[in-house]
Amino acid sequence: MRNILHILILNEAPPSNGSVALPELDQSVELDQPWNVVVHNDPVNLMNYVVKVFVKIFEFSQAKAEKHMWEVHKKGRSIVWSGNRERGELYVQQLHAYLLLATLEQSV
Amino acid sequence: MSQRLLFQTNEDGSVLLGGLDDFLVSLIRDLPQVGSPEPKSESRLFPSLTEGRQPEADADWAEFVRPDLEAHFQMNRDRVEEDCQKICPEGQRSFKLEIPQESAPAWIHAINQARLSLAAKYHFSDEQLEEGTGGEGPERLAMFQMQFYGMLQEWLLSVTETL
Repeated sequence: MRNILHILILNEAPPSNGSVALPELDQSVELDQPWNVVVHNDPVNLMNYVVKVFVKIFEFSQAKAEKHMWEVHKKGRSIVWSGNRERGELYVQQLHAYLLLATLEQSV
Repeated sequence: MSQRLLFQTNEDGSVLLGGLDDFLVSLIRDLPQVGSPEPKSESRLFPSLTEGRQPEADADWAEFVRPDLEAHFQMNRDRVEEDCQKICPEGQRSFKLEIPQESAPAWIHAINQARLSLAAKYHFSDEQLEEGTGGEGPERLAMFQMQFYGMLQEWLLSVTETL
């Protein structure tokens, strides 16, 4: 699946009243939602370890890594990254290599 | 445990674990084998990509990603096994183990594999894991193993800059 981006290039100057006439959106065109990398709670992995993994993989600051770790711990899951599927899969693979429970989910 | 454990970071970055008795040495030597995948721990060590929401993607994941993970995990366990061969006596009744700086990440990962495998094998509940209680017999030993490995991992994490 690929993302289809609508890029509007306005070559003409806007009308003098300041409003811009936009072309009608083609409803048949599918706009993909981004993919989320979700880390799930795991009672075995140590908190310090999870923080270090987030810093290593996503280059999060210590504070951001801790925030996500606590979200996982308290809410059971945390979205740690969103974007295109290919990159998301790469992140999940890295997280699995560190034995964190991670999945890829499409945003709704 | 009748003697004091010693955790020491050396100037060259290696870490020294001393004051080990026979029993603790046996737990350390068991680490690589305990972390080896087995039917009860496989689903935890090799999770799926989408948790069944996309069966085809999960099948691809198992076919193409899992072999790399298996090799990576095996490499870490091999490194630990190699280091374990250097466990040596100190004094009359205790042993010491020196973990080279470059081995520390492999130890951290191998310990993780072992802890996750034990938890999966004995179906420890969140409460049991939280409280460190593990029933009787083999379960109790497994819980002690998990706690000992956890302590080791915590210590290695505290002295290791990067994973």
